[in-house]
Amino acid sequence: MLQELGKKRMDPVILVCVLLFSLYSLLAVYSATSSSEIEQVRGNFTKQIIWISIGLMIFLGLSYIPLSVVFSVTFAAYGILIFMIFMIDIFGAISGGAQRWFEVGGIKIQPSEFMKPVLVLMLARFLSPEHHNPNKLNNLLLTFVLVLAPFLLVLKQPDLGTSLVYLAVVIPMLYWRGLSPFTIFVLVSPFVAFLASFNFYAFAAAIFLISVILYLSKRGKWVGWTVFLTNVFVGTLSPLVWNKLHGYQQQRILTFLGLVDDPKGVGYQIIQSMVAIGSGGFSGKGLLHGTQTQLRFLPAQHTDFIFSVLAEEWGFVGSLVVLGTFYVFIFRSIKIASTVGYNFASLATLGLATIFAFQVVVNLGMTMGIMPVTGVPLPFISYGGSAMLTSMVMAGLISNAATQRHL
Amino acid sequence: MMPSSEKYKSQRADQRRLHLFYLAALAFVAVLVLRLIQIQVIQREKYSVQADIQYKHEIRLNPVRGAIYDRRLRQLAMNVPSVSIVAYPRDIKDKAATAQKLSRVTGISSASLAAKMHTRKDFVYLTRRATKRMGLGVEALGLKGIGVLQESTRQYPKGTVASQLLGFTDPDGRGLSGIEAAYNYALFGIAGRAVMQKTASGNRNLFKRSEYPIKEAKDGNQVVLTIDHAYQSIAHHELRRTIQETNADSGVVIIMDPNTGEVLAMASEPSFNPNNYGKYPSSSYRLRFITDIFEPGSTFKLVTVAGLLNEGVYKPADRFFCENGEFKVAGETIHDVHGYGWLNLHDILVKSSNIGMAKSVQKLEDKSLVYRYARNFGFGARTGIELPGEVNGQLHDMSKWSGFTPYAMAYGHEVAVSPIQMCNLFCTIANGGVLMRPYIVKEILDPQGRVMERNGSKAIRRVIDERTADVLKLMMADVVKEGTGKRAEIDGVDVCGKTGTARMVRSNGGGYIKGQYIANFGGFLPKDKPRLAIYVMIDNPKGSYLGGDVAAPCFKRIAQQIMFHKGVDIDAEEGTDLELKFTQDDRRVVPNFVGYDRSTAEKIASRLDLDLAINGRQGVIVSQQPKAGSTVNQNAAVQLVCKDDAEAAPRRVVPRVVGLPIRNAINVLSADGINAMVTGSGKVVQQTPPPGRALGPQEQVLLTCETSVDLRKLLIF
Repeated sequence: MLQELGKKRMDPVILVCVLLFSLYSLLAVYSATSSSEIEQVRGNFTKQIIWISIGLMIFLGLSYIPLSVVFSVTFAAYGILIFMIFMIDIFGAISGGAQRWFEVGGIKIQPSEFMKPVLVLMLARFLSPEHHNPNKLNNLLLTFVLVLAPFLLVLKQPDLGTSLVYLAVVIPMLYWRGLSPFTIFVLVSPFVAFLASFNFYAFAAAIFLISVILYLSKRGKWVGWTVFLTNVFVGTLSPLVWNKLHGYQQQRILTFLGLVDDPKGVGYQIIQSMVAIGSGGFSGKGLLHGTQTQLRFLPAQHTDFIFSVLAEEWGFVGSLVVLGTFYVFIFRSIKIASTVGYNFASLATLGLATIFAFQVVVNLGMTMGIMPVTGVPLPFISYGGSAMLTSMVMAGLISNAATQRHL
Repeated sequence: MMPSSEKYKSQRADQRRLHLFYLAALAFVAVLVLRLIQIQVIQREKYSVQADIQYKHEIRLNPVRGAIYDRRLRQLAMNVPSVSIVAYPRDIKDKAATAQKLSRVTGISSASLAAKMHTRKDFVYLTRRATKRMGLGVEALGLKGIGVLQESTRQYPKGTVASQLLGFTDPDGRGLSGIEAAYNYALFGIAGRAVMQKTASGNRNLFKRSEYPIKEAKDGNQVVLTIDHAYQSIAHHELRRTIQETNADSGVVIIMDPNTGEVLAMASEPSFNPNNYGKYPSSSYRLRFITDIFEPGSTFKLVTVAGLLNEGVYKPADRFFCENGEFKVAGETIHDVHGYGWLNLHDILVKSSNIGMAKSVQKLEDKSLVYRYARNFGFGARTGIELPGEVNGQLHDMSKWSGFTPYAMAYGHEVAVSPIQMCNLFCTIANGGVLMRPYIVKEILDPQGRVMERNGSKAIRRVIDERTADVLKLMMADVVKEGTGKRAEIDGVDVCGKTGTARMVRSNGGGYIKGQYIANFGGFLPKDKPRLAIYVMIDNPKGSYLGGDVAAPCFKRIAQQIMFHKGVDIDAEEGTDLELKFTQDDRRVVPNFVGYDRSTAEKIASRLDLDLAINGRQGVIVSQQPKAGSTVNQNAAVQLVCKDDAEAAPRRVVPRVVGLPIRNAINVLSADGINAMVTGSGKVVQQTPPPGRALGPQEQVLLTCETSVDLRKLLIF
């Protein structure tokens, strides 16, 4: 056993990245919490140290756990988490307040976070068998059922950010498994039509583009017309439905999607974030010297906007270092996914890498004002026990795949 | 289908997928990096400014404005500590309650306080120039969002005296008029600043980072004027009295030292109180002595006569026929108040005949003579005195002349002058013919009293020969003795002067206003060694409007008071101004106290900021330690021994008699019960002890007299 462990080598790139992330997180969370007037917020730094320590142990443990164990607990984990999220939804509905977590011994646990790796494992398990054909309609529908169950439950909480993360892994994993690009096109095109439908010229351009692709794909009349008419239908119907809605309903939906530009709320957060990042300049204001952070103009600075803290105090150079670390980590994960022998491990690793990439892009895009505010934390860096442990679990699973491939 | 080719195909497909993922990752990173470059590198200035606006709160640290002193370092303008009550409206939760509490302490109605707090501004003044006491009361309340700023309020202890000269400041301490405006750059100092930081919740802290060190304010420098407050006060009150008595519109008095060009007093009526300037019409702020121009009339004849004598065209004895009061020349008719027949040049000036003046220039080949001399005497150009708003006056260029202009100019018409230019004309004649630059700022001191800048007298040019000046003086003395200026005559002093009565020119320049006149009189004294030049201008007097009737008596009273008023000039020993200076190392030169009475000694000491330890009660100082002329530290007391003079008759202080003819001097002294010992004859040139000293019971005054050369002889050739 020990001999076997000795033969297993951890992937050094993943290990170094995880350690670096831990360091960034400690510095940034310290900077973001130490100047707070609220004692509880200042105490978050100590908590973060604990979460990182526990997380690192989980990471190391998962790196060496036999793959069969992971494989076998996937079903159970998925079921339990679905149940927990469902219970939270029910409880939230009863108590009348929005809730994302339950409390055990003073510690808040957010099952929707842990759902991220579990959903990936679940999908990987479903898609991995040799004989599985992802292009078959039954399989495709089943895949979407697996995703939509947690997606809808979490969307109900409401937690758009997390639910979108679930949705984000499906297509890349299916594609990785061999889903044909045309099927992906068929799946994605109604969303494009929907989004474009609110502007006549955009919609016309989208329909034209869809028609050209359908023509070039040479899939036959039936398929072509069905897809085409579906898109036209979605495109013409959505503005009609939208206009039928009451003003407050439209407002709710827009606010939910983070598309409302209200300077006191979401807009204010983005402006403050961009001022913090921009005023950091090339070399930054120095650790603990970021005025926007330390004078607490920056909102949610130890959680969703933690990157703005780094960018303000460490400047463009520091931002590049952090971004670079993420890039190396994700690039390395994709590479691991492509070289690992088992389908299950390969798919899981790819899915996990997708989650990391999606969260990084959505979070950083939000802090820089090119993505809507959806409440997605920055993996490894943002304060938060569930998020930190989830990131460590995911990194551990990737590391595990890397360790397995040498066997 | 071959399995190997199938596997190969699948591998190729894998490779394609892998590269697509790599490409996607790279694309996302590229987008993020480009956005970072845009925000953090390209637009970093924009965001830095936005950040600064959010958290930086710059506070001005106001410097203390410098004081203004007269030549004897009497404070004419100073700062008194005061407070401002201010509000930071955003920090006040319950504005109504805060206003109510404040109202009880400040006495300001709570409604008006609350109204001021209801603003979007960060900061608002609730009241300014409040007492320190009120400030302490407000601080004791400890209200959130209410602050007390320590400031200082400008005060002018002398009230209306010298008001236009000094000017005033706005509530922020910026000079708006007079010396306050002209020397604002020196008096204001340099404001300091401190950068405060605001947190998002609005609290303020002094910024602790080294990029923003507190820049302390640098207090303003102090200005010492050539003005003597005693003279200014006399001029002020006498001008007021004259205007009241003659019911005139306005008036100006200027007193200058003709030898140096120093302005000793400059009064203008109506005046105002700079402590309260808002309650006075803005016309009272005007520095009329430099901004008002008028047609001078006969006083300007001095220029013509000076030119004629100096060029040797005529002698004072040369005679002209004065046409019995009406003279037609160049299409115009000139009138005299009284008709004259033949008059010599001397009498033309003394009797002030317009026709005589016109005749004197009629035969001149060089018609520009009067114009040239007027230019040389400084007319038509600013004197350059350090006050804001001085005007040039008008001296028309020859190209604009009519045929009549040379005649009109000869007796002071078709020119426009300012009072300071006129006064300087008398100064030039008084000092023997040299045009001096009038100046009013003697020194600029730094806040610690070190001299930063010292102005000296500056001769501009010699205008007439000394001999010409001497002849003019004789003629001007006769103006006062037997001519139009008789009412300026002072017993015991030879006064030189010249009257003038001018009709008021319409403001649009078209002709004269009927029945409105400007009476003016200028002169200097004593004749042979002039120490004072005084110019009086009274605008639109009612009743008699002649310069000799209105302005000359004012001149006389001012001169008399300055020359003889006891206590005005306690230490004015000839040429020895006490050096009343702050010195850099706080050391003082001990003056002589021996011989002075106790109260005079105390006055001198207080001006020098010296402490005295006096032994003995009332009486005269008989000895002092340390001796006069030695230096002491400021805080070391000078020991004086005061001899009780209970046996002495009423206290006798030596009056000033230098310059008086011997007979008058003895009269003045005996009026105070003082015996004189006389050496020589003629006029008193020296007296011991000097004026202001108290005399012991047996002491007497020693007078040294000299006969001055009688320049009347000059009239003969």
